[in-house]
Amino acid sequence: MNAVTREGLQVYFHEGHGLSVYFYLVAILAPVQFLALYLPSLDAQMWSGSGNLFKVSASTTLVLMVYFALRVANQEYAPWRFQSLRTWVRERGQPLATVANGQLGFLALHIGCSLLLSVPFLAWAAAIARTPFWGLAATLALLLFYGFCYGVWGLVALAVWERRPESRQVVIRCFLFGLAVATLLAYLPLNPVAYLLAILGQHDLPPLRVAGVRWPAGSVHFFFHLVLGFAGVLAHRRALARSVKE
Amino acid sequence: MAGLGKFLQSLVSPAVEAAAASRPQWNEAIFSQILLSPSFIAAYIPTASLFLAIVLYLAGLFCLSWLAQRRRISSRAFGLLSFAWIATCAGTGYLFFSRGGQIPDGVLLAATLLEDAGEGYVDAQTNLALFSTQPRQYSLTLARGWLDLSSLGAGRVAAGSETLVYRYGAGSPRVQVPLKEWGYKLLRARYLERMSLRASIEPQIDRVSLDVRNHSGHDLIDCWLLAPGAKIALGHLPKGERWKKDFPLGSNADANRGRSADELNLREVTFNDKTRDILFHSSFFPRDVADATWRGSTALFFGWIKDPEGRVDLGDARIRVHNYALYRVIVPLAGPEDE
Repeated sequence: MNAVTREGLQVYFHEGHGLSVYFYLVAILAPVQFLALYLPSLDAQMWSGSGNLFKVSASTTLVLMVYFALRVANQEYAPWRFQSLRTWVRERGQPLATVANGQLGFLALHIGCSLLLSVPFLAWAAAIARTPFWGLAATLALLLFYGFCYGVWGLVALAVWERRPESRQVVIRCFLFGLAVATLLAYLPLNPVAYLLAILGQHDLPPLRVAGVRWPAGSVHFFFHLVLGFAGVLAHRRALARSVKE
Repeated sequence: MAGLGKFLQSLVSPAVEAAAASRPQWNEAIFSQILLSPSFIAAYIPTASLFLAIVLYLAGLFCLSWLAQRRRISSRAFGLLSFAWIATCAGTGYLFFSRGGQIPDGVLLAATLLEDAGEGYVDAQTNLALFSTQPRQYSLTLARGWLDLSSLGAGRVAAGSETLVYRYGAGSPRVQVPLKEWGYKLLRARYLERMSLRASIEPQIDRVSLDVRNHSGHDLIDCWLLAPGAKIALGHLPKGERWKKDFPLGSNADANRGRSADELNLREVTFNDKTRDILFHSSFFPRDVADATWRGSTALFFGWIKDPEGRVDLGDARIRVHNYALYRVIVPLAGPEDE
């Protein structure tokens, strides 16, 4: 196993420093899901009952997963237990690609664990809200996708500002908030929560019109997030290389 | 049969505004109030089951992480057991909640207002709300004594099914109502049926005499007598029993609180059941109906029928039915100009 991934596993699971992340995840998700049963109807023309339960649960899981993925990637939990980039590369002789892959691997593992812990909540909510199985499966796939696309920017922040943890924390929060607001203002279907709710509600999203050409909302959404994710991976590698050279 | 004849005559006569004013209200606002009241939510949402599932799931995770922290189990065993526990909870919960899980296919709420029609008959005005947790066809069989059934608003029904479809056969008419997932339909029905329940109020100068005979086969619960200056909680009248009582008309403390001396104070009448409260204050005695018969100088007796019979049968155990029925008598009191 990759040494960097193994270090993450050791710190988070064997030593138990990362269990608080998963505790926060379920501790927030459980009451939100239960209280969502009592949410009043938002639409005067229909009673929502528990029909919105899955939408509320999925949206909450999405926000929590992205937020915690950024924080975990940014090494905000037990940062003193992680070895620095220079230690990995210069003292332990690990190639830069191994460090990058190890960090990405641990991020993917964390996202997988978060999703796994959320699966019972989502499955119960889907069953109660009579959401079809494809809706549940699509939601799980989207959660993984978003977790990775956004979480990778936590690794970028870690590589760029490794010695300035407070700056990193501010930067990733501003990044997340700024992106959420920008997508809401610029073009709503770009926002992951809006898109998730739209596909669960089977609503048609308005296409994007650029220079007289209509681009389907789904294509624009996935193109944007794929670009975001790949840009994050590339930026992470470049930042690692620059950090080691300095 | 004089009372019945009079009643039937009133059915074919032109609309009487006074009767319309005292007709129970039924609309989406009242329906929403009932639907969203915490006491009624449990009728269509598995709150207890979900709560138990969440607690069990979290307890299992807590136990496993505690064992791992105490080094009672290895990291590998912790991972495998956690995965197995999560998969078990997700799978069994999904099957439980999707194949039943105490979630009904639909819920029928029937709120009936019973008023004496004379000669042992009652005029039953039933407001119905049928709501569905999944797309399906509902077949409502109307009980004997049915006079009229009408739809209120479009509701949220399956496309192309806004009108009611009647099917006749096997003695009882049936109404087909196709509903969408999380759809609903509001209906209003009227019945004339035999019921041996009679209450009479005799207004005197300084008191009212109440005579209630309950041979209906159902207990009459949460009974009240209201008259200007008198608000008396009478309690329960078991089936087969009779009350014959006199009550003095008080000096009217309400007048000192800035309220009209003749106005009945219905706002302070509450019940243990929140749904009954909503039906009473919003449907049977709505506050916003200014010209209702009970607004004037009247004496009013009412009581809830315990475990009332359903006037609409759905014939499916997967549809939960909640019946409420209130019996009321409104008697105008003589005003100063009448004396």
